Amino acid sequence: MSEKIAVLSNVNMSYVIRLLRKEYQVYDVEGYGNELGILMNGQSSYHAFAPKITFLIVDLLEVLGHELDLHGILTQEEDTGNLGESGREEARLCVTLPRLRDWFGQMDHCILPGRIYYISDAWLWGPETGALPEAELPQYLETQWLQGLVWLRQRHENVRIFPYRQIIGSLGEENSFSLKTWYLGKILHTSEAQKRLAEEICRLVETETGVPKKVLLVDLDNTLWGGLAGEREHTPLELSEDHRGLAYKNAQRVLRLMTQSGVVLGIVSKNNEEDALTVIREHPHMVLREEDFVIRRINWHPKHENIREIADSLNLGLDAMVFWDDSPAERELVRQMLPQVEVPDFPESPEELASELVKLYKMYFRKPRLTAEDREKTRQYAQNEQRHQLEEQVGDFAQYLRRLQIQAESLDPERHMERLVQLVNKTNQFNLTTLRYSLEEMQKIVANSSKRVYLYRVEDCFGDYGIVSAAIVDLTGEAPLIEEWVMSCRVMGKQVEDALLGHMETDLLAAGYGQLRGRYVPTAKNRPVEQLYDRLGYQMVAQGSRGEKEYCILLADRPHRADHVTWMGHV
Amino acid sequence: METFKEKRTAPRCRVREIGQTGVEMKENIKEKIIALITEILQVPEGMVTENTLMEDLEAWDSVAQVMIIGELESRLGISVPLDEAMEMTGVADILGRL
Repeated sequence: MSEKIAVLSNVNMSYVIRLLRKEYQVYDVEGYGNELGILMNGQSSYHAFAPKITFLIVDLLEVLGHELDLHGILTQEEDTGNLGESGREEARLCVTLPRLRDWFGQMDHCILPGRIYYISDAWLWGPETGALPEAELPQYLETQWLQGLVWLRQRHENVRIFPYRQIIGSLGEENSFSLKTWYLGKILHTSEAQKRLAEEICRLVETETGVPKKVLLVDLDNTLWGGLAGEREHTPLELSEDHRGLAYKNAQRVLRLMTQSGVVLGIVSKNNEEDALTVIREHPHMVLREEDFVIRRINWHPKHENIREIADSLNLGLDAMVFWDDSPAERELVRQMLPQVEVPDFPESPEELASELVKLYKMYFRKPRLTAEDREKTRQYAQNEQRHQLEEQVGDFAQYLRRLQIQAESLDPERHMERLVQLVNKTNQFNLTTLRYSLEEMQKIVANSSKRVYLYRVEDCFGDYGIVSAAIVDLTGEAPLIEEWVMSCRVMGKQVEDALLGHMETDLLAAGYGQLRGRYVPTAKNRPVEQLYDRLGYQMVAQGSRGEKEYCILLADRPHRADHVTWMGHV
Repeated sequence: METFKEKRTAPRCRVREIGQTGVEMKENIKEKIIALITEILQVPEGMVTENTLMEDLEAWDSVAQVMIIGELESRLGISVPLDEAMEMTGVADILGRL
């Protein structure tokens, strides 16, 4: 079943919609120019269609009604009256033009939870704009529009910016707009521009609905620089501000940006580690430094074995990995031995490296919206590596656990809804019942007084794991039931779950409940928790035909749990 | 996505190619126009001929017509006046303007 999307606009997007119909179910918009009306009218066929993602391609000049007689507006005092509702941190709508304020004010009320909205940034163009006396006016107006978008995005986590400017910029105004089609049928764009709009829409639908990869493993020689690290005394490496060296340097610049959006970067290279590290640490033109690489295997072992070790060490599946290597032989080896690892082709010349890496980023790693957690991911994985090294040193497991100095904190789920929903939907292994909920459904559960939602953040002496576990307890039955419990694999294997369960048990006992039940529903991926409740001292009281199990414990008799975890804040 | 990636169009291609006779040029343009219409309509090659009428093809509706007229101008420099654009009934009318 293909995705349901809508493309709304104040200009005629019929041809774009036609192009998109081949891939998706697209809302059949009646006319155009009424984008706000369609959104605001609860009875409209748009709402009946209920698209998952709505693209709003908005022409700024039309919104302004071609009113460019803005003499003096550039020197006006900014009256940034607050358009937001009182409450939490306020984003001020710093838009002064009344028409734009109205548009964004109305749009604010049209955003429904559970749907996704892409709204275009602006490029001011029309037959008359060439004659504007103030050359800076287009940019000023476009910036006002952007401020409105940023304001909306801060208020609604399901609003995103559609990169319209990038498309017009790449093609150029002359090749993007057509007055002929505008006059004939209010179609503003050339067929080429419309093709690119449709392509970008497709790409964004893919990012919203696909599962991005997490790790990019790169080779070093002739990949991050030209030449061989081991031979740099004879033949200096190509990594500089000129010629091929600059091409390699730019490739590193792309990689560096990728790490900032949560892509985990690792090295798999056949080299003497010292040679490679010396280059990484000391070469003046290295953009990436040692700390940008979360993990590395620099040795003479077969690369597929190194990649397997990396997957184990990071506790991630091979299907979360992308392998980037200049050698066709190595690429072929990894493709054959590890078919779940994505191995894209490598460009023939270094000049193409940067653009190929950008394509790679868009295809495999781009996410629709970065959470603060995503940005920290690289650091978290790096901390994990350190923990692994500690584990190797410390023999006794109990001692290892104590040395970690794990602390946990119970959080108010309402303040972290985004992460809560992410956890519930993305966790597979430590997931007792694998119930998935949308943001809307989760909000109802959190508001429901016969459910208790627990959310936990965990840290240890190496760093903060972030928000890693969530549980939903249903209070309506004869005894409270843990109907959902997920925990991120980052904290598996440290008996953190013992402490979290202990917290829930203490909380429910204090609320007057005598028993607590748990449930396990098997899936292909949650074998690791099949015996969890058994290990934690629960009695199995029922078993289903497909392996589902129901457990129970008398809270007063529960075992003492998890000395190695201390609690922060109020328990 | 491959379906509408195709070749990137170059802005404003010249109508007159150096060294061609008048007849060759006309044949050349005819091919280009037919190719353009085929592309906009997203139909298989060969479906659009000199004699094709709008009513023959479901894909050739008013939206497609607007796009064809627009692309004739932006790609081939052939400008059809606004009042005549929506009167055209098929390929023959367009070719007749050359």
